[in-house]
Amino acid sequence: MPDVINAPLLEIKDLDISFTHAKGGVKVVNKVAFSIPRGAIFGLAGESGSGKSLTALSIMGILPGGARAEGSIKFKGGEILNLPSEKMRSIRGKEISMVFQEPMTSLNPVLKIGYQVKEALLAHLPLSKKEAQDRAVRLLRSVMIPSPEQRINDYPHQLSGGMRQRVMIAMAIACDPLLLIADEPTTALDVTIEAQILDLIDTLRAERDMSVLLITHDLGAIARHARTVGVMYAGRIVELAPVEEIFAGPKHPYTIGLLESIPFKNKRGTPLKPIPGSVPPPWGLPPGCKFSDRCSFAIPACRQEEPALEEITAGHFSRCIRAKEMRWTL
Amino acid sequence: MDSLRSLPLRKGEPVIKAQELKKFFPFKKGLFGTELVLKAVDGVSLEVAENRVLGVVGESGSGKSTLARMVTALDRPTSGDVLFYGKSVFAMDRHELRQFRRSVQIIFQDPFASLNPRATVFDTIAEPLRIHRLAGKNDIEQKVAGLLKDVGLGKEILRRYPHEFSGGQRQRICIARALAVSPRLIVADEPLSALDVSIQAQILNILSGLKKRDQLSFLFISHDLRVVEYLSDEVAVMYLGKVVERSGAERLFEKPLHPYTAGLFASAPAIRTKEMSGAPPEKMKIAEEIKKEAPKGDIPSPIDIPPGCPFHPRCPRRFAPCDKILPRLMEPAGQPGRLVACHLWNPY
Repeated sequence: MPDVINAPLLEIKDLDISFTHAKGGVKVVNKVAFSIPRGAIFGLAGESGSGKSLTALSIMGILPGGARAEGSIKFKGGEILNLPSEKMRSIRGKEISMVFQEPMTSLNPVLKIGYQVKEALLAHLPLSKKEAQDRAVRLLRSVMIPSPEQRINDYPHQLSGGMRQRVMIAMAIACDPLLLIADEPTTALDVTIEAQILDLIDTLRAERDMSVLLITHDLGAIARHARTVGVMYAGRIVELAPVEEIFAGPKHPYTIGLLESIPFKNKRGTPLKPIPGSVPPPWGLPPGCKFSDRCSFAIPACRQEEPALEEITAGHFSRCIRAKEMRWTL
Repeated sequence: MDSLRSLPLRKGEPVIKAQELKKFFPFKKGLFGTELVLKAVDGVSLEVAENRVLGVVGESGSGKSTLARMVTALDRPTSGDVLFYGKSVFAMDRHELRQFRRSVQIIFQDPFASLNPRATVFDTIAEPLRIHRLAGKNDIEQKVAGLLKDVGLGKEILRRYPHEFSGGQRQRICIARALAVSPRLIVADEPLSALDVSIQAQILNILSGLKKRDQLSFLFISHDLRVVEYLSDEVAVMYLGKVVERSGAERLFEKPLHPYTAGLFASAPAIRTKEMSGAPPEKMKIAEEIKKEAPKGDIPSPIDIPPGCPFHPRCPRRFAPCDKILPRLMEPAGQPGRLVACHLWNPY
C-alpha cells in the first residue's frame, strides 16, 4: 500500500450524484473532490440545496432511493463508494459515523437513552451486558452529560435539545470511529448550547485523533473550528482553501457574496450587498459557470464554459476564471 | 398617519410601551394535578419609540415570542399593560382596537406556515386592504402590485399560490401583506431564521429600507446577534422571562455588562481572521477566553426558574448574593442610559 501513514483518511474524487426519474436524470452533485487528513476538521459550507448533505450521505452509503453515486470515495486507502451493503455495514457506525441535525427525531422516543447507546456498541463490539452498561456510562460522561449513571435511564423527551445532541454524539463515537460526519449538528440548538456542542466535537477530535466532516451553513462555526473549508454551490465545490486563507482573502464571488450577506460591525446602517436572486433548481442551471447568472463579476466568457477548480495560491482553489482579480477583505 | 386620526394619541409618546408585563401559564402535572406555573414572561418593561428598532435577543424559553404576542394584543397578559401611543391596548373599544390592529403588524418566523396555501398572492395581500377599506375595486390590483414592488417582487406573480415560492419569496409576501395597511410598528418574530444566509441579507435590506422610507418602528426578535446588531437602535436581552440588560445597540455590543450577554457574544462564532492568522498560541488564547465566558450547562426550564438571579447556575462570575437575591433592572453607576439586572453592577 502506498504511503498509508501520510495518505489522507478520506479522499473523495470526481463524485457525481444523480437522481433518475421518468424524464431522465438530474445531476445534483458534480465532480466533488476533497480529502480529510487524520485528526482534522474539514468544513463543508453552502446553502440549502447545494449538495452538502448528499455528499455526506454518499460517504455513509445511505443515499436515498433513486440516487446514484459515481466516482471514488477512498477511506483508509480503500474504495468504499457503492460497496456491497454487508461490507458497508461493518464500516458504518464503527469506523465512520454520523450526527444529524435534528436531535429530536434521531432518537427513538420509546427507548431509554442507555439502551440506545448500548445498541450502538453491541452492533459492532462483542461485549457482555455489564461491559456495555459500563461503556455506555463512560461514553455519556465523555460527552459531558452530568450524572450519567442516572441519565442512562431517561427517555429522550426528558432531555433538552442540547443533551439529546450529546447523546447522539455519544452513540456516534461509541465504537471509536476514525471519521465523524456532523451534518448541521447545531442548527436546531440555541447559541450558547451550539458553542458547547461544537467545542465538545472539537475536544473529542483532539482526544481521539478523529477526523471530522463538519457540514454547516454557519461560516462562523467553520472559522472557529475547521482547518480546511470547501464551499459548495449548485452541487459543485466552488472554493477550497485553508480556513485562515478563505476568510482573509476569498477567491470566489459566491464565497464573497456569502460573507457580504453577514452583517459585520463596520456595516451598521449601510445596506448589505446580498447575492441577487436565489439558487436555481438543478435542472435550471445556467450554461458555463453555474453561478454566472447571480454573479456581479460575470463576463461573457463565464457563460461559455464551466471553469475548473484551479489552484490560485498554494492550497487555495477556486472555480472562477477571474479568481486572481478578487481583492475582498473582511 | 391617516390611519390614526381617530385615536386620541399623545404626541411624543412611544409607539408601544410594555409595562411590567407578565404572562403565567398555570398547569397541572401528573394524575392528581400538582399545580405548577410556567412563568413565560415575568415583569418585562420596554418601549419602542417612533422610527426606532428595538432588538430583543434571547434563547429558547426566554419569553421573546410570548412577549411579541402580548405586545400585538394576540394574548392578554396575566398582569401589566401595553400602551399604544400612551393608550392602554386592553382598555380600547372595538373601534380603537381595530385601528390598533391596523397600526401594529406582525411577521412570523415560518413563511411556510403563515400564508394560506389556498389563497393567491393577490388574495393574500388584498385581504387586509379590503377589510380596512383601503382600496376600491378599481385601484386594488394596482395597490397590491405596488406593495409587491416594495418588497422586490413583480406583479406577474399575482395569480400564483404560496407553494410555488421559495422561503425568501414567501417572507417577502408576508412583509407586503403587513405593509398593506400602512402600519406604524412591525413586530418581527425571528423573521430570518428559516432562510439561507444570502436570502437573509436580502430581507434585512428590505426591512431597513422600510424603516427609512416609511419611518416605521420595529420590535425585532432574533437569536442572531449579528443581525440584531446591524438593524437595532436599542437592544433588550431576555433570559427566562426577564430582561437582564437593556441598552443602546452600539454600547451593548462594544461592552456588554451582564455576564449572560457577554456569554452570548462569546458563544456566537465570530469570523475573526486577524486573530486566526496570528501565531497558533494566539488562537489558543482566544479559544480559552471564549470557554471561560461561554455559559455552562443547559437553560433551566421556565417551570423551575432558579431562585435569586435566574442566570446564577450558569454564570461564571456569580458570588454570594446571586442565588438568594433577585437583582433588579437598574442603571449602574457610571453607565448612564443603560440598564442591567446584575449584582456585579448594582448594590444589593
